[in-house]
Amino acid sequence: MQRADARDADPARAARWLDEAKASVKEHAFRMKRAADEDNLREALKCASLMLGELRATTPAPRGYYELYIAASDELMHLRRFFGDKSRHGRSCVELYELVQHAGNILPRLYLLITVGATYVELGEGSARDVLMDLVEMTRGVQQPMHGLFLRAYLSQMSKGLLPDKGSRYEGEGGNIDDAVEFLLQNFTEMNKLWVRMQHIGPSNGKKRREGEREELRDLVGKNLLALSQLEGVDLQLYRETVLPRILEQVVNCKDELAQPYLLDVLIQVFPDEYHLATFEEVFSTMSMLRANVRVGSILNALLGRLLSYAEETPEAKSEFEAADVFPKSFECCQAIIGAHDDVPAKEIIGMYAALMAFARKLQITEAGTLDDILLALANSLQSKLPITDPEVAQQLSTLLSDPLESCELSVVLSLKSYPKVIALLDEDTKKKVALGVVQTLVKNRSTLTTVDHVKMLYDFIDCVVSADAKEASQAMEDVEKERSAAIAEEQNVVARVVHLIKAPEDNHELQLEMLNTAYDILLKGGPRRIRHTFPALVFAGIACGRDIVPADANNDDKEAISFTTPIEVKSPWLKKSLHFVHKSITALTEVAGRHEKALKLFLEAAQLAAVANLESIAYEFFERAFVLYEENITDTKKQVNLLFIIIGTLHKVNVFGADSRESLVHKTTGYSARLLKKPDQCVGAYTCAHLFWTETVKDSDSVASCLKKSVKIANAVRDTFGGNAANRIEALGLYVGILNKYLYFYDKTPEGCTSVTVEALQALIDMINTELSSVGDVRNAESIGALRDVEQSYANTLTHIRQQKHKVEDGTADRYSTLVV
Amino acid sequence: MSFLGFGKVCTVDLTHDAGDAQPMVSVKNEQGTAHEHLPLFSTGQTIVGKVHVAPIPGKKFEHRGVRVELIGQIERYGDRSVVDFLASTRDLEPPGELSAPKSLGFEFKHVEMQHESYHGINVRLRYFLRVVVSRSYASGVAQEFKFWVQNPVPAVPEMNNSIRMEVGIEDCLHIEFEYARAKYSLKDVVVGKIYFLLVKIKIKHMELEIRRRESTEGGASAHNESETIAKYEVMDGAPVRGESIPVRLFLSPYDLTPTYKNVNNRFSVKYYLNLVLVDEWDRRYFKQQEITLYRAIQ
Repeated sequence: MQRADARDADPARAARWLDEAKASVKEHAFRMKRAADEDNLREALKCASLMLGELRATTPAPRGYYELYIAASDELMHLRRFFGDKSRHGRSCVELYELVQHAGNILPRLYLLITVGATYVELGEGSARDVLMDLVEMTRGVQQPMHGLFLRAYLSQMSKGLLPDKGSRYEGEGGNIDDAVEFLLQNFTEMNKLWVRMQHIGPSNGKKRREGEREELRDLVGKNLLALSQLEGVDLQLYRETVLPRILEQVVNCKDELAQPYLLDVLIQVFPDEYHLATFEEVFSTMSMLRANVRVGSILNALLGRLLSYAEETPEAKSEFEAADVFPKSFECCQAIIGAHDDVPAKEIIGMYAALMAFARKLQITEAGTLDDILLALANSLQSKLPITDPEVAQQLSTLLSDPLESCELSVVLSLKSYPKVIALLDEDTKKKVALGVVQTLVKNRSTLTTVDHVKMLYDFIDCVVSADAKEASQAMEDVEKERSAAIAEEQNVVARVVHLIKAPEDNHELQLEMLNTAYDILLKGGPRRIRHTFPALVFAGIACGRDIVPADANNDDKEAISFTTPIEVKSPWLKKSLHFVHKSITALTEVAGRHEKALKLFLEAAQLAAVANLESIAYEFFERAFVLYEENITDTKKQVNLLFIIIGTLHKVNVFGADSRESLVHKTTGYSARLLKKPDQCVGAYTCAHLFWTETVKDSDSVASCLKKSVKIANAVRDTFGGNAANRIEALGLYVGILNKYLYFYDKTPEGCTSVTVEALQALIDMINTELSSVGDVRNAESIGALRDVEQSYANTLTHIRQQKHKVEDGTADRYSTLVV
Repeated sequence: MSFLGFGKVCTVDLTHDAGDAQPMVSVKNEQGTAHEHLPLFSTGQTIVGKVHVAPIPGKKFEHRGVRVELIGQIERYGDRSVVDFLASTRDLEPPGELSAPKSLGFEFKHVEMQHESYHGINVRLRYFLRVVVSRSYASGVAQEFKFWVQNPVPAVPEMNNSIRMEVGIEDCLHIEFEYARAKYSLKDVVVGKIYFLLVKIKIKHMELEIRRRESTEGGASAHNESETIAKYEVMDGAPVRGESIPVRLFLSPYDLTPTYKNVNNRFSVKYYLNLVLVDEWDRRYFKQQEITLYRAIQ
């Protein structure tokens, strides 16, 4: 039966081939061992040759070949033991060494030769140098890449521990460390050549697969470097003068994109840090000689990483680094590498500079000048790669840019003049992403901006998301706007956060305001689309600044306890200034379509601050502005209702106004309430307005009563609408219950002088509710029933409250409620 | 041959006086089918021994003399020519009657045997001692006792330069090979190196062959016969430019003879190292170089 072909594309058949080959190895190995047991040298060698003959198969997949190799090399260990016991075969090593060379096929011959050679050295019959050098020379005969790789791997493995290393028992007659190094270097060089050559074997369309296969085999080559690093005798001098130059020579000469980065990486990983420190320049200069596609950045990164780890373990490293000019030279190296090839991809360039930046950071090189140089060099190198569109590259760049933010003082970062240059290299979208990344990093790190220049610089950094560009201005605002508004909102919310980073040191309010004003000027240029998102933040920052001044002047340590309802005299001139700033900012916001509601709320917020500081006219102005907005710009009914409640709430809290001003404001407010579109809203408005007449400073019980009465009237009107159908009656009932609650609230204020709210009025209302309830008892409509149940529940709760009050002794509550019949 | 009473009347045997000390050699017989053990001599040696003649027990016979001849003979199969280049005779017994076994001593002093014994494809060179018991009316008894001659040379050849040569096919393959020496003893090692200066073909492997060319000369029967004695793989896979491949070939395992030049104007045996490169389509590229083999004194 014909044997399956190792080269077979069909995996099943290739697997069958492997099984057969393994079976054959096993069979020959069995005979070999039996012959060895019978001390039959010739027969043992013959069987071993046959077994090893299976390794002559050409181009099975490396994995299969590896399995076969492992099986065969395991069996060879039996033979090695047999060789080692001279009494069994009666030959000297030198005789054996010749005898195995009689084999006609080279691959089995060399496996046997290596096996004998190891015994030869081990038994001390031959000098390690002579035997090993002979072996490494003879193995040149195997040029088939995979055969050669594994054969030499076998040589490596067998020679382990037999090298004339310093302190080894093979040193002396058997050679010295130079021989050991020479042996390993030769084997390494040859293996690497074979490995590189693998790519040319086979059809040209299998390149990708072959690269994968080569990847699988790379450690065979790398192990030689590991073995070199494990030699006791390889000291720095030997490393620098012999080992490294030879390795680097091979790395450069092999001109292979797979081998170059791998070998350098292994080199960097296996040798000690201090060797790297002493020789980094050589490695650097090699990097610029690599193939253009080799990802040098990660190699540089690895080397710098090793240097850093050395720095971390060695206290005096910093001065050593300085003495050796490590950083400047790394920098030069970067530039040299980029200069060496025209087509270094942007990704690589960034990778390298990122490594350099990280290195600088870890070495705590934070001088702005140095970092600036790096960025400038980066910007220049990337100039020819524009525009950068690959999202991955952009991401890399933004990571790089955020690096100094993480490590350096913000002031240092902000003085980096080349920073914006680097940002400018990106396309619009990415630029924005990077800019936002910068802000996010700052926010995450809780950095603060403490000078006007910093504010300017930072906004300059993120200019692309701050200013409106020309293109945008000319665009029709409509369609595009809709699409992008969500994106812009997200983006500008981030930008808005910058405002909160502005924090003058030591309560320097003047500076704080100056910085805010700077931000104002800059943000104003962003156009309405940005102002709508950024200005609220600005306003709050202004208000916060003002609030900051207030307690400071009031000599009150307990900030939590400040009552905004009690006006305080504030002497600081900066308060007014900050209020002015707030006013200015809100005004800017009012000019943006759709932000009136927000502006209105902000005015009220600001009014409170002014009120606390006892600045009546300013507070009044704020209210006025809010009212104007309400009157002119708020048309939506629901919004009107909501805002009205906020106005009432604010006005209720604020006690700064004189009687006239106050009356004017209250009058307007009640007017708004009366002008609400829907009757139920008017009703609620009316009884809510009652609060305006009963504050800490104002105690007008008649007006309270009249407001409440007015609300009852409106509720009546609701009840009677459309002839008083069930739905309306239930709605009115809800209003009645609401009014009842207000009555109760103000009735409880009786001891404070709210005498106009009487128990009779209460009683009348309760009776009316009872009557109404009984009259709507027959509704069938499901929706109405639900509403009715809600009202009933709410009413029941209220009655429960009244009953409880009847039992409250203090303040004569129980007395007051005693007459109330429920 | 006891047919009609003319059969064997006596048995003949021959022993060498050295007895167990006589060097022996194991050689392939002419057909190459089996090995035989033969006494080994070299030129100038004295061959001393005894011929044992014994009548059939209980009988006696008359003879016209017993002699021993030493023959050196070249036999060509091609034209069936046989030439004795050496013939020497010693009479051991005058005519008479033999009734009991008798041992007769003989001696060939310092025999000149300049040619080595050789078993080739078309030719053989052999030595033997022939004992002849002559009879007057019946055919005599003649029996051959083969022996083997080897003539080691005492000194290493003086001129022994390396073989070095650059060969190639234009724009396709260019190699330079070098063997350390041109002359080798039979137990020697061929050491060399093959440099690849240009490789544009896909080489699968490379081997070194030892080829023997036996040529018979003189007359109409001039004839060459080549055979490959050894095939030794020296390279697996395809090298790249600049590669140098070591060669180390031990000659001892192979059945080689020294180079023979124009032996008695009858034949020559020459040896060649043949470097063969085989490409992926099994095409062979080769270059042959003559080497001189000699037998060194061990």
